[in-house]
Amino acid sequence: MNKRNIIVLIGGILFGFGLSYSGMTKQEIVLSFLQLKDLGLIFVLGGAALVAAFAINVLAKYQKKPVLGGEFKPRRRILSWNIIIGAVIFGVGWGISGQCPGSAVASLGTGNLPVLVGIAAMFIGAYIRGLLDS
Amino acid sequence: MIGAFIHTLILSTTGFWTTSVQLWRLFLGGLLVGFGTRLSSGCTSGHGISGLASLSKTSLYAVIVFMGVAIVTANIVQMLGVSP
Repeated sequence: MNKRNIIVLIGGILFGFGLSYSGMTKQEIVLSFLQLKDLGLIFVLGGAALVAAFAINVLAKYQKKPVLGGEFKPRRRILSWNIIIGAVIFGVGWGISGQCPGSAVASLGTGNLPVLVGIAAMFIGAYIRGLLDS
Repeated sequence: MIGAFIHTLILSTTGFWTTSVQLWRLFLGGLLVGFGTRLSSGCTSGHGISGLASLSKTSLYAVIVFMGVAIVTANIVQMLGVSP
């Protein structure tokens, strides 16, 4: 395995570990946030964004090139109706099931096999979007 | 998945676990999440963590919209008597 894959693997393991540690792999806990009973999710999301913001906006300034090669460049997403409508559809799905792509895959690692149904459905949903686009 | 597995194995007090959210909800929600993520070019991780961290306004709007819609949806589902 090359260096890039090892670093990506470590990143993924940390991400999954953090999601499980914080309870975000449990759909019930995510739903209780969405029902405004348990505000934990906002601290997990906000905390992760703060740490990542420090890495992106501060640490990266001291580093000319990414460790794994290439160059630093932001992923620019232009605001469009697709983004807003997509976010609405995503929100309905998230509110119904309490699962999102990252937490669903991590959830599998906690032994939560029913979530395979959700992950399969996500592939189908994304595929349908691709069909409509072509 | 591996990270969550390691956490559950060595630290979790409750051990391996299965959701009690109904399969139809996982399926229907999953369909919409997959479609919406691709249409809006991001999800809770893509817009919520990476997007906000890189100070993207587009991501901020996406997060506000999907979180607001999800909160309303989850409360409607609960009001309809569906639990958990």
